[in-house]
Amino acid sequence: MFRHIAGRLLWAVPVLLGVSVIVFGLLKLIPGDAAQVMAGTDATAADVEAIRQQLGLDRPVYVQYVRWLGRLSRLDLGRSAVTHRPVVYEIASRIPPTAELAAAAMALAVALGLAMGVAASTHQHSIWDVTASLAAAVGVSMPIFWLGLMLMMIFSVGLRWLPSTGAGTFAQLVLPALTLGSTSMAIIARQARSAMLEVLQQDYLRTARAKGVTRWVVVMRHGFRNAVIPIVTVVGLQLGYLLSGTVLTETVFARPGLGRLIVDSIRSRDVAVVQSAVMVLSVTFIVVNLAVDVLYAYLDPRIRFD
Amino acid sequence: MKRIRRRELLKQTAARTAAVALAAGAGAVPSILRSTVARAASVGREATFVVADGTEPNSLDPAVGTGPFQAIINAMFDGLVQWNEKGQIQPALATSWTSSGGGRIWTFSLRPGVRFHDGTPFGSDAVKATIAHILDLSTPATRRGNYLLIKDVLTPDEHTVRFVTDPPNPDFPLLMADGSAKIVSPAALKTYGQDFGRHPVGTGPFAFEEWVPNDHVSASLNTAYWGPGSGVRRFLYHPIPESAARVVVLKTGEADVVLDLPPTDMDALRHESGLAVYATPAQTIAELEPAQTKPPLKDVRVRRALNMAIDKDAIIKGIMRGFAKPLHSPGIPGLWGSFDFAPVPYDPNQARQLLAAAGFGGGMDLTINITAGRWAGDLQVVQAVQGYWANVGVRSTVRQMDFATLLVGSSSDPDARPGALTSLVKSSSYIDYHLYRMYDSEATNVPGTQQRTGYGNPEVDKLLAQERSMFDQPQRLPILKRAQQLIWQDQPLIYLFQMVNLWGARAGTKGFVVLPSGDFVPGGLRRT
Amino acid sequence: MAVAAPPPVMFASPRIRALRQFARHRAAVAGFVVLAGAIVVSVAAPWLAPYDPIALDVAHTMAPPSAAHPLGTDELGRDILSRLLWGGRDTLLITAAAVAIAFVSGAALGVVAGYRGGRSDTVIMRVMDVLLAMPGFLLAVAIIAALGVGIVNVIIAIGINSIPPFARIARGSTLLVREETYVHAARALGAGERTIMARHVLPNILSPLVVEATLRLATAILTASGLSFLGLGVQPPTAEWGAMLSVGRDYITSSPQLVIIPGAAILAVTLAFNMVGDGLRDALDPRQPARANVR
Repeated sequence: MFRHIAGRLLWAVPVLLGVSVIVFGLLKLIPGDAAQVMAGTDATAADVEAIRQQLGLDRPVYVQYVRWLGRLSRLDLGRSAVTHRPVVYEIASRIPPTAELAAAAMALAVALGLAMGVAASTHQHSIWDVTASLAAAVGVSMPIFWLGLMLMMIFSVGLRWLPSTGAGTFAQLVLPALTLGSTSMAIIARQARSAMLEVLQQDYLRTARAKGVTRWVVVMRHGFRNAVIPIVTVVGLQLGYLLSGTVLTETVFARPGLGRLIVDSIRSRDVAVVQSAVMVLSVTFIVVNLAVDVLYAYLDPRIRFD
Repeated sequence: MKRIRRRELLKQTAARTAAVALAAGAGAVPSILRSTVARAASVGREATFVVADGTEPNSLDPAVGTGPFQAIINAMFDGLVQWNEKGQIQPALATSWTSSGGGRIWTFSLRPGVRFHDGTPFGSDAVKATIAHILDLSTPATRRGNYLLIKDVLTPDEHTVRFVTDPPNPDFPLLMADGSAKIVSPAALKTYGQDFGRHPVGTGPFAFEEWVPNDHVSASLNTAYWGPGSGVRRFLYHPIPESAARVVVLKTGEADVVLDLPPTDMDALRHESGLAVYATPAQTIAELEPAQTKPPLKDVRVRRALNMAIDKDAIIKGIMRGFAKPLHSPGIPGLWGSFDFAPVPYDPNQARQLLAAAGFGGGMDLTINITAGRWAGDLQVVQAVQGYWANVGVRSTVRQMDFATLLVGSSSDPDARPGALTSLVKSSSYIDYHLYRMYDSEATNVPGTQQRTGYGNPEVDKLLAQERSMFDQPQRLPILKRAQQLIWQDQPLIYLFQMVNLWGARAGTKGFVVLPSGDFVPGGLRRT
Repeated sequence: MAVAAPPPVMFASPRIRALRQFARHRAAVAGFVVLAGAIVVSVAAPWLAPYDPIALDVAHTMAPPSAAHPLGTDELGRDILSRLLWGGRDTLLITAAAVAIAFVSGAALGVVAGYRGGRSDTVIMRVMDVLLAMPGFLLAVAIIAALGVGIVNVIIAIGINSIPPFARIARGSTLLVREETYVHAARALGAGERTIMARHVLPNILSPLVVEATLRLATAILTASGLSFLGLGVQPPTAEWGAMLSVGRDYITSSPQLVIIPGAAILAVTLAFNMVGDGLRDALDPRQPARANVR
């Protein structure tokens, strides 16, 4: 198992570097002279040149990249071109709303998705199964920004049960989490259903049933335990979807999180913030995937006892 | 065998549950911590007064932060004088004032015993420091143009301040009621320097607490305030750019007062219980400011054509739902000394002819910069303008950006941005303030000022210089009229319409006024 | 001498079998009908749409449905039905272009990686891994941040985003097909690498790629309208469903139809693509397990 884990860790390093190259390179493509923007239009050419040297923009691209990496590791992310506050502050202040949204959406998606999927698999071809399949199909095809707006219209504007914007209280988390988690819920339900179906048809389960083991024990202990592995893989993948979904969900519900920061910063050409925020989300995704891989290695006896 | 399997199952279940819980918990912990801390600070919704408007502040420094978030600035700062709802100025940090020296010298007596939120005493040195801060070129003071007439600030003693102005100006006390003239703590200015905008310290009824970007600015009750006491312990400003969301927070009671309500919702809101909505006349105009030192916008025919191409009445009817008034004046209708002139008709054909005559028969490319959400319908109006201009061959790109970036653009050198227009609203409480900052060539060219259009007409300059030093009000009128007539012929702005203040308040809220300028001014806030 | 009667058609060609399997899937057929309708209507938008989608009528904004405007007008007085039709046309064109680009490049890369193996395989798949390491929509947003907004850049962003799945599937299928006898035979006959890849490998791995393409089209629609919703995609005044939704946000309290209609359209078309994709998968390659398909 440890060899497997070490292998995954080694794989992660070049991928992380690759992502950093993409993030750095993409944002180098943004037109406009960053030094000029920071200096303002009333600055003299000498001022602009001074700022350019200060930002290190006069060195070749690969040197800039290495220096950027270095600064990244020291968490020196520069200053926002818009607010002039340190980027670390801008990002750190927005992590809590995003983190709690992603966590809540994930918890919701896993809990409800598993429940729906397992229930559908044990009642195959019943009305529940058909409804669940339909709901799953719709869930995968649903534009989450539309779902968010519809939920807001019904529950905030219409019924006034829940607040429509902002972050910080539990009530403000409900609609965004439901919105963001919907697609993942559908996918997990689908995956759970098909994984369970495959397992439930196995001979050893029929044997257990014949031996007189109760249906529930059969399903949970024997069936679910073996189905959990492909499900765990899917869950890990979903986090990536959730992280990028925060961009849309936070915009709809006006939550002051990382996703919305990225959109606002792209509009105001605040390169430093976009670079760092995208990097933070990507690194989170990679790290969580690694953790899921490790968990997978532990859970799958074939790998664990390798 | 069974025992081993059960242990195995338990271990695996524990591992799985731990993983999920870890993921959920890791995310939830910071927010739990934060809300626990917030609860420990324990100022609940009951004891907080919430005001919502459309724009995130660009700065909390009164000299720099000017926009539809004036509410929070008014909560934290006072000026020497302030406007009341009757359109007059009344004493605030100054108790009385006189002019002398042919109107060149204004002496204000200051209120004793007032302290800033940081404990330092308020005195004439604070007034001097405030004015110096505005005139300092390194401060991006958006209204610097209006303060250029202050040549010196003398501090004969702690409670007396003397301004020396050139030219002499009868409206000078009115200038001291301006949002940018609110007095800031010199000690804080010295400590924070350019960062003062994030650490505001004033004398107002509430003291700055925290600024969570794009979420809220909060201030806590100043128990040593010199003015009327408030019945709430905290003041919160909530920037909500989506106008529909502002309507919702008014309906649900998440906000006590909501400014800049969308015209499309006014009728429905009138029938809601628990709140009241108001449509009050405003001293505010909506316009587009062109950078006009270079072609194509340098040519008056082009500007006139651009104005002619827009069906402003349709915009007032269809987008503003009648909650706006036609604007046929370079001044602000309703203000003393503002004059109306012959309307520029909606005539796309003539507009095309004018453009062709100016050499742009083949069309031209313009950019309109806007911060959407400052007032309800702003983006739609600009897009309607885009459509009307497309009809006459003018192609335009609408660029959306946050308010801070918008101001950086509109205050930058107009030579560097030919063909750029900025969507702004202008609110002024007296006619000279408006005419001077919008149309005097010195004011429209000074760095940092919001309306750096580069417009200049020497005739207009002369007339403005004349009227602003006239203390005989009836004699001022014909000069004001002539100046405005010349400006109207020049069409330096794209005049859209005069606004109406649309705002709402929950039942039971009192102790504030919403001025014709649209500003929310707290004065003994309470909620019953 | 009597000619023996031809044997009964028990083993129809694989294509007909697939078609029959597809037809048995009710949802897939429904999806196909919706799609066909959407495509026809979108292509015919210039003739079907009663009004110019960007023609303003500022005096009559947000009019309720009427004879003149079957779906009413939007916040600038434009006919919603016309904007819906033209928006659909744009959406379908954008996503088709993006997925086509991704299909061609991804398949090519995957076949090369699978067939050649070795260093090309490692390099190509490593690059795909890096692209996959960034969450999908986020990658698209980052590409837009770099290149700027607008239709062309949306196509590029979605295209790049979609290449890795095609590459992976192509590679996987190529690895299987590589060992088939006809490939060995072709090589023995002296066929060049490129010929083998193009003429022998590619046609035999098309089925899973086509399934993927259909499913990717669904995701691409969500990405494209999502980008426009954020203001990073198609720019106003061009009609686009996501952009129409974004503007409608300001009016959910007064005119909710501005939000409901475009969103329903997006859902309908995406659902149709997903149903058709599922049906195709069942028909063409039932061995493929249900996959989590979101990027």
